Amino acid sequence: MPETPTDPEVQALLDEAYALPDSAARDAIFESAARRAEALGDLDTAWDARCAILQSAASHAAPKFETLFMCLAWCFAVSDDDPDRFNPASILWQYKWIATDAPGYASVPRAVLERIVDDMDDRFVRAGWGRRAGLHKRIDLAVLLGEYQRARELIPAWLAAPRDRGSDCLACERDTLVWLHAKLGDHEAAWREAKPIVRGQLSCATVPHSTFGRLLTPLVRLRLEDKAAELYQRGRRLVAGLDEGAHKLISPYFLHAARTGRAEECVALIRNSIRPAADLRADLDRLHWFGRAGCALSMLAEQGVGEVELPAVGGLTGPGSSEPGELARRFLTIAGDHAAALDQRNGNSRNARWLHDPD
Amino acid sequence: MTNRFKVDLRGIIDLAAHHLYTSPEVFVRESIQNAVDAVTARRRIEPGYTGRVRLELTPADDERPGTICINDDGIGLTEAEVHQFLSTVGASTKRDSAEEVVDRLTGEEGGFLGRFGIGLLSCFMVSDEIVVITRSAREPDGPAVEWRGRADGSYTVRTLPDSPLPPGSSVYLTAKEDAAEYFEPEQLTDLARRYAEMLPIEIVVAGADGQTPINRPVPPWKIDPSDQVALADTCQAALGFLPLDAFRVSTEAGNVEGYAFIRSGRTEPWGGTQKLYAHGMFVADRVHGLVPRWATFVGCVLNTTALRLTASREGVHNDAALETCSDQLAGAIRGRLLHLMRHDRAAFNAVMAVHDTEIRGLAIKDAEFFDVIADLLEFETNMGRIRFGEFRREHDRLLLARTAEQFRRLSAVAGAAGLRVFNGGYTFHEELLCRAAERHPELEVLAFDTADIAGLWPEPEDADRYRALIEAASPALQAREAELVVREFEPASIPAFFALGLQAEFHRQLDQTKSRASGLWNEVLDAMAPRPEALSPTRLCLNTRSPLVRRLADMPDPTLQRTGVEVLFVQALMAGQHALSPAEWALLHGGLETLLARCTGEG
Repeated sequence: MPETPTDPEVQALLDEAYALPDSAARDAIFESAARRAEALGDLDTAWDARCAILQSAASHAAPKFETLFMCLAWCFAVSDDDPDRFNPASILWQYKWIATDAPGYASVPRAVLERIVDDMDDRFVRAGWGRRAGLHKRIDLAVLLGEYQRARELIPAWLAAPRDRGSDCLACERDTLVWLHAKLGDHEAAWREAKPIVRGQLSCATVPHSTFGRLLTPLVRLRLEDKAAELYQRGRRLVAGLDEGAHKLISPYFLHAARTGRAEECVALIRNSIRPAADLRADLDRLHWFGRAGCALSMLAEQGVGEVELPAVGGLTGPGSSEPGELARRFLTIAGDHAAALDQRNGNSRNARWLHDPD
Repeated sequence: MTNRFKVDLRGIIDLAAHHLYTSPEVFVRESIQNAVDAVTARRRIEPGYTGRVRLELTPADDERPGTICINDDGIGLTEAEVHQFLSTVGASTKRDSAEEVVDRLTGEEGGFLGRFGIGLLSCFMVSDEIVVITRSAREPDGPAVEWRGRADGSYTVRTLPDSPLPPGSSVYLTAKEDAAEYFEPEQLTDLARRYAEMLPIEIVVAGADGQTPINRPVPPWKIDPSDQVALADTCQAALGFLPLDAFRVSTEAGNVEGYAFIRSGRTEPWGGTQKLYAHGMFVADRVHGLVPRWATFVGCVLNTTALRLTASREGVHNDAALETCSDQLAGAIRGRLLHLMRHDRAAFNAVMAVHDTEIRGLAIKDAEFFDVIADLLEFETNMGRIRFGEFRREHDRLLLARTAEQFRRLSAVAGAAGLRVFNGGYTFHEELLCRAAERHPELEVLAFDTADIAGLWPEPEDADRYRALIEAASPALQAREAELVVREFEPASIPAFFALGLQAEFHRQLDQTKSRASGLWNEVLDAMAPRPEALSPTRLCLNTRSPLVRRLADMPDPTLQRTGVEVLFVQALMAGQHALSPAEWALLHGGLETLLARCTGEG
């Protein structure tokens, strides 16, 4: 059967998108091309464009997850209808990212989150990929729901499951272990698990950026301040080097800066990330940024910092300088709302408690 | 009781040979590396000794597979060392004193290349048996020794008392059936050149057609910076392009030196290449984390003597030294751009013309660079491209369309209203404009979408003229969650404008996806929907300056009025390049049918 030529306007959008680096702007242009192709009945081009969005989401740190959810929903819909034409294996790997981010939205009911992981697990098994990635995501979900013991109980089964195409990132798996141990308060275990990452033996698109941030508080509590200082410098640099999405990973660093008396660095990190942070949609992302920023600014106020200058961002900050204590109250109120929404969904008070002493 | 692990040697050899390395061809590098290290070690005990490495190929014939002999006149091994180093996986003749030797032999001669003592195993990828015949330069009166190792982990050692072999080592490999390609002259020469052409020790490939020298006379990092022709040739040969600019880079971290070349053409996004060498031996075409991501418009040819290589020596550990090295390289590249901008504007403009996106990426990350370059950056607006500096000097408010789609929808109507709107829908454009506004607080940046511009348009003075039209057509639009309003705006050639804010647009896309998605995903998408109070009103704005709209308002038949507005609604969606849902297509078809029926007297 001859291939249907792509509509010239759709093709122009595709050409435009392919010429850009992975970024939210590129995703938006692909989405535009996909919608127009779909409206013209060209499902193949729409599929290709949406797969491109899903694939690029794995390599840049600021995908708009709402867009990704839409993409994935659409792709599974057409693939389930005609799996020979739209190969589901092309999008399964991306499913993992999305399954991890859904719990960050308080509006997604707990039962739906459980079903997403079940669905992912099921699709992976049907593709012949095994259960290791599914178990990994169950641990992620348990941690995000604040059920750390349940997450810990799943570890043996997870690590015993054979590795497969869907679970081929050693760095991501190690990062999860560090995260879980840190959440459980086992700082020594977190540090022990992190060492191959710290030494540079394990890395990927998101590791060690994420890991170094997770380690700052455990290292301080282990009184390894020198190590914390080293990882603070290394991690801050890595996060700043990201093309987009630094605002989602930077908050542990400005909190650490405030805790260790680096007021200027703290304010600079908040200043550089406040504008994109204001655009964050997921409750958990907003809780983390505003919670840590509020906590950091409270510390600066206690340390005697009189004023901080942040850019004017609608609804958050006005023009000129502000008193850090006042900004802290404003940010902590925002964070508190998100913590409450997440806790209500999760059925516990983990996030509210976290907000009293963020890590 | 303490027990010892049992190690399956065959498994270890298989693991190292087939899983550590990405390709069998690395046996050429590992073999040359061992030979070069042997020569380096001999230089330790015989200062001034030069040494050489020879790869001798005997091609396959009808009866025998091809063989390669890698011969060096280096330090050689005694029988005891053969047992210790060739027969113990993980042992290395170089490990204990590598640091010391590197300290002594840096500069022209370089230090040891190998560290792990597993390189020889890579030869099992292409040969089932490895034969080493060696005589130690430290005990030249001792016998030569033959070691035969097999892929099953067994080996034999015997002395060759009558052998006239001079000090040094020869490694013999016999092609496995599936590795015959590596025993072809052209392939072997190509691989030797790829890995070893920059080494400071003479390397030759010898075959039936004579000897082919492998080394370059001068490695790229030793080229004189003023020799632009040699640099251009090097760039073409190593990286495959002629550069716009070439400049020297060096870093303390990792002890890296070499050249960076600015590409003359665009590349795949973030598809930068480098060639990294360690002590002159090729490591990789691209090392993650070495050159910053924004700098893909730069290709590099670099040599390191201190970055830590991975076990396969095909990459570099992602450690603090690499990070500091990367920062220092970033500083060098940024410094060069600033130099060009200040002292060679034509060259800088040529770089900007090709690498605009990447330079913008740098400007976002680097405040100092941003301050220097911001005023020079051009942005797309609905009134043509404009430099930021030119705009900010004359305006105190900047309207920003946050997506390329919103920009396209706004262009004509904003232009007609005398409003300049910036397109923030390209990578880095919105971030740069917001950053610019932070640096220039006198300039206010306002996000602007189609709902915002509709909010600026006045109601017509003769609003009563349209009351019947609105009453007739509003219910049809309310069913599509849109409000019908009349407004006065330019250009008059646009009869209707669909005003949809960003959030409302997302909501519309969600609905369209839900119409196709399954149960679980519909629940997820429902949860993603923006809260109603966050949505700006979705409006169809009928333009009272349009003769078509005025005529529609004056029609006495409410059915025709409603049908006309429905068709205008779909037309406005299409003009705004919105993807139409099946229901919207049906609306258009139904409307046209009604109008045709009226024309023919059937309706």
